[in-house]
Amino acid sequence: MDNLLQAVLNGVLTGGVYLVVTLGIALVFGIMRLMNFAHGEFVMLGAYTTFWCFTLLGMNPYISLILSALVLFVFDLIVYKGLIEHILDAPSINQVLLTFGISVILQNLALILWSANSVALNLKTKVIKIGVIQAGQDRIILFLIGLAVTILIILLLKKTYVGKTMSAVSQNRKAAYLLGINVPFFYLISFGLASALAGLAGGLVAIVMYSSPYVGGKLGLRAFAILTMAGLGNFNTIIVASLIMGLIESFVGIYVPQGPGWAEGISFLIILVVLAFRPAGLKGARAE
Amino acid sequence: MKNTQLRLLPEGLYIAIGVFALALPFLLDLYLVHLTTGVLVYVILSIGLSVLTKTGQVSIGQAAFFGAGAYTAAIISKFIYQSVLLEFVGALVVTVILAIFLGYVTLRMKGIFFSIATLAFTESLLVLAINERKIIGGATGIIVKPLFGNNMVMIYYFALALTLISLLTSYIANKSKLGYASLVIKNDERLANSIGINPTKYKIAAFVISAALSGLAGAFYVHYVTFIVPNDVFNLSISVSILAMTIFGGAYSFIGPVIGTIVLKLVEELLRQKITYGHQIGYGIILVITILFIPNGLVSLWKSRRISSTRQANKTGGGTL
Repeated sequence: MDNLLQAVLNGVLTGGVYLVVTLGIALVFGIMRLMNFAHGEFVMLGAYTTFWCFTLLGMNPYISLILSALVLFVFDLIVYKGLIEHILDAPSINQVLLTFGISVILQNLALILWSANSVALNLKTKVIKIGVIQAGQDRIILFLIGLAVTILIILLLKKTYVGKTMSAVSQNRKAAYLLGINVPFFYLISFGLASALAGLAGGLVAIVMYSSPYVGGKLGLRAFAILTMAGLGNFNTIIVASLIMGLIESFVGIYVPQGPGWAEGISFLIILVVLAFRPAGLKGARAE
Repeated sequence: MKNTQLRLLPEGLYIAIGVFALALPFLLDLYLVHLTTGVLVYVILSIGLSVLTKTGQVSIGQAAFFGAGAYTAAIISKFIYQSVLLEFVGALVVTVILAIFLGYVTLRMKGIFFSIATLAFTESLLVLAINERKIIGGATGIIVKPLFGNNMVMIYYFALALTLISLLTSYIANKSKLGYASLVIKNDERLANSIGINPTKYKIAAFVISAALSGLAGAFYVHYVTFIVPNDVFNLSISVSILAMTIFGGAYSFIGPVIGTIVLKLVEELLRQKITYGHQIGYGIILVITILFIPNGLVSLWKSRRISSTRQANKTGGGTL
């Protein structure tokens, strides 16, 4: 029973990290209809930014979260302007190949620069006990930060003028143009916002997990599984799907022999099972 | 259109290449013959991928079928019966079944689920292969006997025959209804539907052919290297290099994938002596640059010179810049 409760808590806390990763991909896809295969690698760069700020500059990890979001924002706008903007009108096969190519470049660059070893911050943190279960204070605070940011973004999309414009752009780009909306500018904002989220997610990953050139690919795969569960363009459901993903992994890790090794297989199984039985996502909304 | 794709190179050049390929063992030393055999494995993989890309779909997980074919061949030769024919048939059957299953589930959906699923498929087969220790030996793998008593010239000719079979398969697929359906589906899926072409059916068919050719390459590869470990076949970097080679040469043409593979493999081998580490980044850069500047690949440069029509290039082409 204690094990079970602890597994639930661990799963929820991990799900919080997945949530921020997935939100960035969902944002870009929801507004620009672009599936960004390089988003996981952006998160990886964010993780290394936080790691180096802590290790070299001795910066407070919480402040480096903000810095890492800023660094990724600037870096990704260069990537966007230089590469991605040119293929927005191209067939989806070209978009997949370009963003996937970028992810290959970034991952191998990280391998060359920082080697394949994983590095962690190893912060000394207070352990908070609730009854029989426990978790590090950092993990709880960072989970709350992730959740708060997510809710803020969803509110931004649903309630404000900027958000409504964004959804207008995503629904009908030509009509949005005709209404005098500066579509390229809104694309830029959306991509920048997603990139800042990648930086933030990277910070969370560096603090509660580890940084490694491969961490982006692993997180990207989980994010795709979460998106498949949630159905594309369903922002609210992403929160639930992320927590489910975290919980499944946590349970498999405890109850299945050699459990943690199977994590990648789990993502694939989720994608396959959901597509086989509920192709439009768990909630079942019509999605093209 | 079909004709221009095949008449891309004058017939004389085709014959010259054929003669060179046949005479190669007499011109080069054994080590280079062995290396060329390795290049042919990638040529088969690229041809396989191009059957799929012609429908406008892209698989990031060709390594999964490559590995599935390789492991099937290794398991048959170790546990069942040592027969090359049986191994190749087994590899084909397994990869075809996997592709039908995966294709049926993911290609019904519009959009990018397919690419994502193929990516995830490779990773899960890798995990499976590493964790399955009883039959396939986990990370230690299986040792397999070389073909033809390790006669490198015979092995080369065998690979050449397999390459020819792959080229023929791609040619026939392109000439058949699948070829025409692919062209329509790639350009406009709704149009395909409205003229009675079922996009899902043809996309699955193309995927199955591409997976079968990858399985064939895998079954040969396991004898070429004479051992198999999970990381050697279920490796994302294999999928990446095949993608880069196919796109670079021309993913929508008949001969493009072959040219792209030979050129890039040649460059890789030449650079390998100077740079031992990080050639994957090169494939990433080639992928990005090709998509941005020549989305229809090297052969499209040649084609546009011959036909000198930008409209043609736009019609056949994926990329609008």
